[in-house]
Amino acid sequence: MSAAGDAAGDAAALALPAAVARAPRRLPRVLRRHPGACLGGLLLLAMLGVAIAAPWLGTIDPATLLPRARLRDPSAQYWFGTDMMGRDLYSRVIYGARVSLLIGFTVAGLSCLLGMAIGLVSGFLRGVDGVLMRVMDGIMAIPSILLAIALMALLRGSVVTVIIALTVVDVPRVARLVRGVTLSLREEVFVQAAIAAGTRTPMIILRHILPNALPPIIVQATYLLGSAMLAEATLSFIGAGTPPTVPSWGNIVAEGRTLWQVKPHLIFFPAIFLSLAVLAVNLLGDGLRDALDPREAER
Amino acid sequence: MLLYLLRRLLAAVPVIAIVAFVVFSLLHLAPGDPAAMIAGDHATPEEVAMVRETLGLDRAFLPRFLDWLGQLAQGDLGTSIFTSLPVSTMIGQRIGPTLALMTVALAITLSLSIPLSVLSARRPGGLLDRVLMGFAVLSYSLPVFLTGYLLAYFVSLKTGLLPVQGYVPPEEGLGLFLAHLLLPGLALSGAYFALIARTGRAAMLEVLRQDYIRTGRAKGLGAVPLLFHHALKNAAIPIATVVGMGVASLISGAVVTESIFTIPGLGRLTAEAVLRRDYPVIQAMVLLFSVIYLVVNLVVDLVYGLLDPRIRL
Repeated sequence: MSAAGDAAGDAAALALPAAVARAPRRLPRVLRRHPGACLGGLLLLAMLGVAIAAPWLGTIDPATLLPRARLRDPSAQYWFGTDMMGRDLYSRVIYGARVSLLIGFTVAGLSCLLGMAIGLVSGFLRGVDGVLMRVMDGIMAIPSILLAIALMALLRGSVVTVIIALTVVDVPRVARLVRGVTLSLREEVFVQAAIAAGTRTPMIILRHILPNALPPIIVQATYLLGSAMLAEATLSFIGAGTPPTVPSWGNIVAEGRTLWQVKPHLIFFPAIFLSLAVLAVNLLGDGLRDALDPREAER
Repeated sequence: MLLYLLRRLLAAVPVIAIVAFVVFSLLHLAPGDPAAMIAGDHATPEEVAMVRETLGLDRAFLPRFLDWLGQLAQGDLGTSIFTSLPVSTMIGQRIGPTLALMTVALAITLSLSIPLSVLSARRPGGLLDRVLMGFAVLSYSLPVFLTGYLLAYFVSLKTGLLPVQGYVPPEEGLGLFLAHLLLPGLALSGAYFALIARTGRAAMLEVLRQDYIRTGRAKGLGAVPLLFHHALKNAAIPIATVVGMGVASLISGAVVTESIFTIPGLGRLTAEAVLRRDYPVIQAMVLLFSVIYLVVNLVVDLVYGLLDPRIRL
């Protein structure tokens, strides 16, 4: 799997720069072969742009209270309307992108790093494998949102504690994947050759195992990004996530809950932004999986 | 078969023990003072001390853990800090609506996803295939609270076709009972539907490449018996696997769905317990749902033997 996987991975990594270099004939081909991934990538870039440029997108401070303009419907002045405290919903939703993406990227990054460390160690040092994997199995047997809820019940709600709780939930998934890939790579001839040549274990892991294990980890990281954003919103929605002062999409929906029958826009605007962000990430993940998985590429 | 069942049950015991250990140690590993956290910001020192004693935080970890395991073995799930009721009583009051909701979601998902994925595998890249796969990406990307509120708003509130929120027990009329569960069931099945449809399609494509399918086609078998009788049988194992694994998404989704549709089930109980920081209830919920999840997957393992006689249990 490694050689083919490598080639497919390289091809995918090179596809975009090469297409730009040999423009304009190759660019449409990337689009034609992976329309979903391109759409997802563009959407995600747009979301990132919105999150970074939030202060310059016609927003006001998302915490500003306008007591005389409470519960306004969407209009030219208040694009998405205002909530029951008179805060501008458009500004809150735009700033919400920052919270969601920050949590999503941090959780995905941290759980991949920790999961990779545990998975590599577990796949290479048979002594600790049994213990580590039993703990990982135990954590994975708990439905993920419930474990995050239990953690949040013991922590003071903040962006950092949400990140910690969601990372704890996601690490075992990466660790299991990396361990599996490591075990199969260990049997490859080039690794056996390196062992026979007396290369030290840390070097083998870094030089030979890690680069070959990266493509599936990248795909997994993409899906984790999406699921972490959903999980943050779910936690915040039931009141176990970020504190109400933080304008996260889940919080905004939670605040609109009591009034959704008369003012549905309070819920639909933040929920639609969250859906678009998660959809973008998942489309990108599907495209990456097709591009990086040699078995899928055959079709 | 009986021996296999026994072996599997025995193998599940250490996993449950590890789950129990993880859930229990969270309380002791939490930074700061969990007792003060649970008692809340306005608690007096006496109240904090009381919570600490109720949770056993004043005692050493290991004896407390063994005591707790002993209580669990006797069916004692602890006592709620907030209501002072035994947690097992609270679960008994709330489990009915949750099981009903999950059954409805399961029925909707299975009856739609399996036939559609089988049919879509017939022409990969065809119209049905592309529509179904597009819909699958959508339905696992949309949060339950978007689909839930969209359905409640447009189907119930705007047209009045179905009740908006609430729950009616089956004793008060089966029709009313189902009418209240239809929309929550649909909202809950989103991610589950996507998982099964995608896996079903992939498994079918794998099977349809095999020689016996070509033989079947060559001898003039129609598409329907070929797909549903010959191919689906061999694609059934991976589908059954994700039917079991996907129950996790039903459990997670239930917490949100029950809150949206005000269904007095275990998911809502969990959400209420979080707001009250009622840790014994949360702890019991995590344990209960993990056991349900393990049991469902155990049952799926047993079903393998029924689906595929080549698998001798």
